[in-house]
Amino acid sequence: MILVDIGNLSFQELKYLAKQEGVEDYENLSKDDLIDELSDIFDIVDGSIQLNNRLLSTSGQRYVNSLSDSATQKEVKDLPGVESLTELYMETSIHFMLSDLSWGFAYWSISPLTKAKLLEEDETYLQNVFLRVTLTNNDTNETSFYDINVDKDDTCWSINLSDLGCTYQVSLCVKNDANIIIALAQSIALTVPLPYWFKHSEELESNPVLFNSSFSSIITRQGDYKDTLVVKSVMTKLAHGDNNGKY
Amino acid sequence: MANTNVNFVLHAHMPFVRHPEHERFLEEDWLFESINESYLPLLRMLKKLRDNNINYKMSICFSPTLITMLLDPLLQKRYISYLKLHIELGRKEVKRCSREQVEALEMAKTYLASLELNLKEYVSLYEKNILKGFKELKEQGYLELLASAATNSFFPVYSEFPIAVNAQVEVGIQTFIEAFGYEPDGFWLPELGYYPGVEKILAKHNISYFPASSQSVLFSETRCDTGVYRPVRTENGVTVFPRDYQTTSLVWSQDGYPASKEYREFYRDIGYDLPIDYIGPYIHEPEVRVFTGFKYWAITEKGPNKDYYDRDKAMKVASQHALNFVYNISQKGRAVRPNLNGQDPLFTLCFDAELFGHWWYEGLQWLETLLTEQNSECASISFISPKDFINNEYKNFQPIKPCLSSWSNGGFAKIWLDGSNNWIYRHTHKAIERMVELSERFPNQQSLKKRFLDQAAREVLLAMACDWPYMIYNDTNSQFAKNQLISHLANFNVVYSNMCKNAVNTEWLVKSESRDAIFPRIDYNIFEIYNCNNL
Repeated sequence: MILVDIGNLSFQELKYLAKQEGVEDYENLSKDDLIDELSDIFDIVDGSIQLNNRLLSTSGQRYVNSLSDSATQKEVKDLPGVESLTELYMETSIHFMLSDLSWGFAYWSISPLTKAKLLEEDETYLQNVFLRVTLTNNDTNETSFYDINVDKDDTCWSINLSDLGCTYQVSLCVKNDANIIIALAQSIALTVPLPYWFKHSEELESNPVLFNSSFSSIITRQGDYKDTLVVKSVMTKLAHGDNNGKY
Repeated sequence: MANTNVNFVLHAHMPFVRHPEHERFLEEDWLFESINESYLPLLRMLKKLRDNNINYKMSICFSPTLITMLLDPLLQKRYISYLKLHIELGRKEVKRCSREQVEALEMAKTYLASLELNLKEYVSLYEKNILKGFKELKEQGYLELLASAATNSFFPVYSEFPIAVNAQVEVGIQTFIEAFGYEPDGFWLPELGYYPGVEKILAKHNISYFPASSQSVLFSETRCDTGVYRPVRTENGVTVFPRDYQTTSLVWSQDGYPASKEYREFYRDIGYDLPIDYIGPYIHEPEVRVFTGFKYWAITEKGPNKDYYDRDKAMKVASQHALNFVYNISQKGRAVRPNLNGQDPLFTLCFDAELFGHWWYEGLQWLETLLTEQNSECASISFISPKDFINNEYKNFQPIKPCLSSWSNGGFAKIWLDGSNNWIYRHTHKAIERMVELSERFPNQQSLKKRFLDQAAREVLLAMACDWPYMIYNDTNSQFAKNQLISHLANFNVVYSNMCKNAVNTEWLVKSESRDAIFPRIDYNIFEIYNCNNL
């Protein structure tokens, strides 16, 4: 990152800024006058900038002019300020998304601060990182959970969702050798529906017209079908049912 | 008398690719090829049907990134250069074929004539804005136009961030209104990606319907009596048109119509076949072979042995396939009717617009026959407008809770959360969080800072495009996709890091605005948290 004082901006850039900020007669002002005008506009006071009634200590380095080398006027190749993407962000969090009705994907990070605190408390915590998947049945509100052990260097995981009709939440947890568990972060809760036809496939088995108006729509003329857990299950039930070859 | 309805929807989309810093940029050709082979020929065909008093109805969605590129002066200029270059190649090809490859001469002449007609219409008739042609057909009642998400973002992977989904919807609709001059009724969820709750955001923007995949209805917790053959409505009243995968797969599958041996082989192109000293000026430097659009071979069989393409024969097959398609819909309509309580079935069929003409050369002939045939007196199918259908039959639509779904392989979100591309979301989610933070910390800025923050909002939206993870998953142009994605994220980081220091990088801003010139009226305040209250 290259930071420069407003006084280091080129005359052209100062004029550009002045135009943007609505400075009157900016085209006829000298460079020094432009700096004065812009300093007033941007409330540069003793090297600090006033922003929303808070003083930010910036040593007057308000504007960044970084794409051209002012000495040679050559373009700087590596854009200053364009940081390459970090692998992890300095935060402790976990995010959870649904891949389909039987798989989810979670990614997480543990901030250096959190790690330091855990190490300070008990260095065995970071040896036992795991994901706690909590599922709540949407009908009965019964809650259960299962744990997935992950390596301390893992940062993402595909999670098998064991039951349909549940709401899932994933917690990023650690535990020490004394089995004391700390939940570091919790994902949003996502609901996996229990499809009606999964529960009532017998209705499809006994009624070809009903089957035709619903599940035949995801079967191609070659007999291939959309390969999902739910479809597989319905198909398996149908295959084993006494449908007299109606399909 | 027609008794089976068809809601035929085309989705026209190109990811935002615009590189003014290069004189020619390879991936910009995607747009030019699509205008050349799909959009302009489609428009020509639709107007011909209108002029022949064929009363058809269909829907088209132009994605906001495509709208932006179609209206962009730089890309318009470059398209004209592309046309002129290819016309020059066409003239050379006619000469070369008459000398060396007479079997290909007719096709060389056909391509040249088509290019010349495209140039004439593009410049003189549409004055470089082909959307005018589609708007005219909309105003005349032939087309219905759908809005879509700003950058073709796959919503289910952003369900944690309704504010970002809302921004995608709002900016998408804003772009639609600027292009077509009215508020849209329908909305195309990119990749038909639906998650429960997205309808609240759509309803907030007065969207009354959207197409969805079969799974949205079939895997609902609610018993849906009419399967995918009637629209349903969500709890908040937005109408869902579930797509019929089976009928669609007659076209859109490995063994679908376009795979027939008489059809033109897409992958055999003189850009790859002819010597470099001949084709050099028409491909990319340095000697990067690309498609030129001049293709002379039929699919024939798998492997390198191909027959010369016979256009007349292929077009006849396309017409036969259209009739077969009509027959299949009619038959399926009869089969499902007994379960629809006396109501007429409705088939929603969704396709990528670029399939017709570009990927499937004969596809426009197929579509023309389809639209013409449905108009004949004996036809038992009728192409309808979804808006009209809602107006007439809304009260009969069953309320259900649609399920998470998409039209991608598998029907859900798996290909967007594949091992190859799931790393993306750590960064795009963080960019969204930071954009929300910026709009909270720096609300209602003016002038330079507003422009800086607006650019950040553009970059976040561009990073959310699902084209990048798709290309990475598919391993097609994956390095390009990674570069585009990382560039948008890095651009966002410039604003974030500068604003955190209360700084504005003026030169960067000007260059960024010029490069990623999209959504000129975006207001970064759409990322303020109050925008997603109750969503």
